[in-house]
Amino acid sequence: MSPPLAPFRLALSALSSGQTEAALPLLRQCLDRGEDVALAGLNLGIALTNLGHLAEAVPHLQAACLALPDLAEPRFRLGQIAGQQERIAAARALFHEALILEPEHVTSMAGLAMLDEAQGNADGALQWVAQALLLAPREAGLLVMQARFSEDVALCRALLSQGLGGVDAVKLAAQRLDLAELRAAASAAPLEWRWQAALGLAQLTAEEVEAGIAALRLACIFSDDAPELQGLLGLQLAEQRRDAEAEPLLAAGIAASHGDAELRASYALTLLRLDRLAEARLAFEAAIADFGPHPSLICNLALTLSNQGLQEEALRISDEGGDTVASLGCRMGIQPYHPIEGSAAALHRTASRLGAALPHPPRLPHPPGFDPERRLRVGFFGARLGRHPVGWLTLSAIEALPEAEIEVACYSLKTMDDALGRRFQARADLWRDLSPRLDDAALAAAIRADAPDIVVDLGGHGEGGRVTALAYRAAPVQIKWVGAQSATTGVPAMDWMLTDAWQTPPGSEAHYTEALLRMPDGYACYTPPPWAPDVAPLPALSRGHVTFGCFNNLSKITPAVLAAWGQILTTLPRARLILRTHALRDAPTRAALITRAAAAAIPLERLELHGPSSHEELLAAYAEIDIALDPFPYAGGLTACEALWMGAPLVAMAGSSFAGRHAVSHLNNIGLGHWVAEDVEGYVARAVAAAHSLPALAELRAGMRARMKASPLMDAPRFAANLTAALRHAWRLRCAQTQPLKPLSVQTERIKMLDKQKLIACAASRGAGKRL
Amino acid sequence: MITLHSLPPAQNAPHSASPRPGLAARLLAEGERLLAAQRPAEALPLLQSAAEALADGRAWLLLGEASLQLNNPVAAAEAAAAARAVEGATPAVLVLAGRALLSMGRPEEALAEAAEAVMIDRHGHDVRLLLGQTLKACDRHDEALAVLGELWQEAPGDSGATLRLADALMHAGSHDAAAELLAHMLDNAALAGHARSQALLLRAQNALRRGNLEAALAAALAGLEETGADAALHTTAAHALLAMRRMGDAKPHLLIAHRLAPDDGYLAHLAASVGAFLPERADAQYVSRVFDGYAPGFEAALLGLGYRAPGLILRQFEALLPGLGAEYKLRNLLDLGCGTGLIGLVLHDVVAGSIKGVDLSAGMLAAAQAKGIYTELRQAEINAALLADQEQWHAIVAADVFIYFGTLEATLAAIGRRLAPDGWFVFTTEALDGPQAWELGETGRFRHSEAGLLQALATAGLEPVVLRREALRREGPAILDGFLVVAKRAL
Repeated sequence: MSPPLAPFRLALSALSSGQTEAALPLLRQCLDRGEDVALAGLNLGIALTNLGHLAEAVPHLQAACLALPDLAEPRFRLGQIAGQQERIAAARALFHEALILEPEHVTSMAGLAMLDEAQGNADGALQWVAQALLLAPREAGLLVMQARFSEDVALCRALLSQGLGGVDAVKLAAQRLDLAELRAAASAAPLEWRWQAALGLAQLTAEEVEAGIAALRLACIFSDDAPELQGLLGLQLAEQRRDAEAEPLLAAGIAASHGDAELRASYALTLLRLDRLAEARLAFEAAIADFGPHPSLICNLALTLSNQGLQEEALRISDEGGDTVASLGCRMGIQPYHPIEGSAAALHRTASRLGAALPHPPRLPHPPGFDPERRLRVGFFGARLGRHPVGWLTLSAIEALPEAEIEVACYSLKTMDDALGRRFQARADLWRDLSPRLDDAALAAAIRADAPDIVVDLGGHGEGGRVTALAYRAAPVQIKWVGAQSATTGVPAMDWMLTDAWQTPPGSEAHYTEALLRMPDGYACYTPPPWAPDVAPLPALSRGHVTFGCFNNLSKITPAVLAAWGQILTTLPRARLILRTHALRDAPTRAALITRAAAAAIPLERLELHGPSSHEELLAAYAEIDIALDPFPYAGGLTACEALWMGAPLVAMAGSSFAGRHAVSHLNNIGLGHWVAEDVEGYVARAVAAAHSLPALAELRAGMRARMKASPLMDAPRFAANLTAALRHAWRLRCAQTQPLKPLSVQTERIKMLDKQKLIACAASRGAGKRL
Repeated sequence: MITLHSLPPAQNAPHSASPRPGLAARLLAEGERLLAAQRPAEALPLLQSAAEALADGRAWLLLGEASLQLNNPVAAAEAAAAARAVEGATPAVLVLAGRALLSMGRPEEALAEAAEAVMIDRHGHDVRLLLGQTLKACDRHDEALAVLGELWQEAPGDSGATLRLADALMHAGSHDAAAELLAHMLDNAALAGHARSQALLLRAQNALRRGNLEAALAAALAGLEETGADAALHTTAAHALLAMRRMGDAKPHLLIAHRLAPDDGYLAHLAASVGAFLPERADAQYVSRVFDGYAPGFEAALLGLGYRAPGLILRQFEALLPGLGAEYKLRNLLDLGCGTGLIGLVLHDVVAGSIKGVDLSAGMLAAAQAKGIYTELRQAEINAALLADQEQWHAIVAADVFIYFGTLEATLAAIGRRLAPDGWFVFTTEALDGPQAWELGETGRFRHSEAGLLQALATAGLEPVVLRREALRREGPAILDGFLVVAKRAL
């Protein structure tokens, strides 16, 4: 019987047969036993790198550098990791060290070439590749790099024709060869995956989405589902928001290429969109550990945590992104949910930091031809012009804008082919689909090309929102309205915040970088969905106990909210609470919420949790709810309106931020201002008192729709008239501005100080109805 | 983030694929899956590859289905032919071929396919469905109702079958029965989505076809109340209002319909006709749709309106060319916008050689063909036809064609290039009094002023020989005034 092989031998055998995972415990065993420590450490570092565990690999590779001072490989590997983490100088130093030890270390030369490329030094990159090719003239990867750096189209074509260079060659061909050539080549070699894949990528770039996806799918099948191609197809499907289809493909791609940062980031984002929040969190955390704190990874991790209802952790993570526009924009999307930092004052502080990082275009004096009274072209800008809170809270008012006075333009970042999306299209005198791939400056320029007089932002810092594009000023007057309208935007070129006296009572001005354009009633105009079922009878009458409900997303459920609910349920020993939101689909997230609820003294046997449901089902589920509980500091916006429309009155607490006062505005506008509490004590007392008055509740419920229909909240013609007056007011002030002004933070103050009536009179006297 | 994942250079790049067992089946399965997921555009290339690799009719049938869903009936017909070559004329092949022919506006041929399919499979659902739809398209309404009624009785709860029966009843003129069926359908609160929208639309269209304009308008508005913005319902409302001569009220509906379906030339033209746009000529889609719809009764309608243009044109030739017909004839004639062939009917005695007719509408051309006068009939847009034409014509006629054109210069110049040096060009157009060259009226037709016509002729290198006002026909109680123009190439 032969003696058992040593773990190191076994590990090498596993590695050479491609069983990298299997080698890990064996190599760790070597380190634990002190056997073959230096080489075991090196191989462990390399294996971990190949599996994408870059952070874990680093200490082993560093130890290998010390233990094996003459070896280039550990230095090269560390350089590779540094490059992926965008630590360019460190990467460069490590590659040079490797080359000093082994002057013919080809991959270090290639690494230096890629660093040069990343820094825009194509000549330098080409020199390194040329040097490497002298040593490895047949290496396809180097040839692809040569073709890329030298812009050698013939070489690029030859690589693909000869089947060299893998997916990198395909990507290059998609960039360098024109669509007609790719079509012809794919047609001439119909079973060749490379040409199909290159054609697919080029078609996607040319916005031929369906054809591009189809070509990539063909390439996948022709390659026998090569993981690289599955990953490539997964990336494109994820870009199209086809997350369920993308997820397994991305997973397959990652299994073969763990160190691919793009695949890892896209996979994690897909998990987030599929509400697999716990897995998404792990995936983002691992990606950050391996590839460094890239702003998009940080932001998406923060969003994941926020969606799990972990406001504290979310905000802490978002701070790691630094003071870049992207990071601060992300923070503005997350901070309003935070129990302390979600205050108007704290949000203003973050917004000011964001403003400092954004352009400050000067506001020019009005050119000749500005006429305060002419018909205005008003552009509505956003990614959710359709079935979305933006649609339900703005559309009926936009539809009712007087055509003679307002020309409606829509700037849409996403096609919304639904009943509301078609209504937006029907009302728009001018419709523009804008590509979300455009950067901020290009987006603003695209809008500016139509010369709108006023642009109204309907996206804010929320998902898909591009309010920072308006920092480059797309119109002489810019206004923030519904659409992640949770706080001041901080965008210096945003002139106004459309609001009302409930949202921003006197004294709020200090917390806004915009001037406040207050509507006389509410700030939004609610359209109920036609598929909303009739209001059901008060369930407590048949059940004998009160059921509270909150259908807001989990981001809004803070520890303080849970504690208040705990008090309510403790005071009312038979009452129940139902929560219904998409994040509760995720089992770990649901379990964590139950733990937090228990800690907040919510009796779990009286707590009912539901995951996502269709809009129709969600509305129907209010048949079980007697009283809706609004969260704080981020109140319900559309959710508040829907609860009310389904007959459930809303107990709310007034916050200080814009997001904290949505329900204050809605309730006051339907004459239920007394359902708003000023503090937690009042919130609990209001809920308990309501639960004790079932006849009054039943009566209120029965008359709720009539009350709402008769209120300003749903009076579209009245709202539209007020909105027209507000837009006209902003325009007249702009027309009256004849001197160049300093950037906006100063300028808005000046406007506020001026006597507006005098300005209007001044403008009118200079040519109302005529061109100035 | 810098992607260094290609280091070291990829060693496990996927190998090149070659045809091998299993590949085609995989393509077919994936294509079928995508088709079922309502992604025909993505399914198409996979099914194409599968069909080419497999000697299997099923791949061709699925490819044909994808093509039909992508509004490409020609490709669907080709796929049906390929499937037929592989597995013969099975019912499925015949149904695909018939559906493709129906989509191409060839119902008689589709009916032949359907009849053959029924001979093989008398009870097949798809077979009978095609038969019913082709009979309806061939205006054999009683037979269509019998077939579609039978299908409905087998599945009275199937909203698709109910809608098809209601549609057939409407086309058969059984408006009350259609209305009753639709009302019953719409009473069901559970009916939702596309089926409900279709039922609402059909209810409004049924009232419109019956001539009950108020009911049509009310139904369209009620439908819009339920569905929100919908191009077809807005169009129906607009048609009802236009028929009531409430042009101003029709305008917003046409504008919205146009915004919702910006690629629909018919809607674009109608919207323009009420003043939203200033197009330079009528959309080809509009002209062909209008005239395809009118073709069966068009001639009788025109003659009933005292349409004078053919007679005017003949008399004008006789006045300009004494002895025409008896002593000599026109060498050849190009009839632009020939319609049902009234010009050919009137002039063929004075033409010695070929008579060519050009029209956008297949329905009109079919009626012209039946007259047996034209040596060639071509379905084309006039400018495209002139561009492709190589002849030199002794006479070119455009009777009541320029009412679909605003700007005439380019068309007149193209006509000048095809006119023989001694050739005659005769046309009529509706008259406009006013300073502008042309305007688009609320009828959807263009009117031209004398000054505008003279300017356009001069620009195109044509010289007017005759330009005078003539009554063209009646419109309601009024007489429609126009111009009769004869021009030659300028020297």
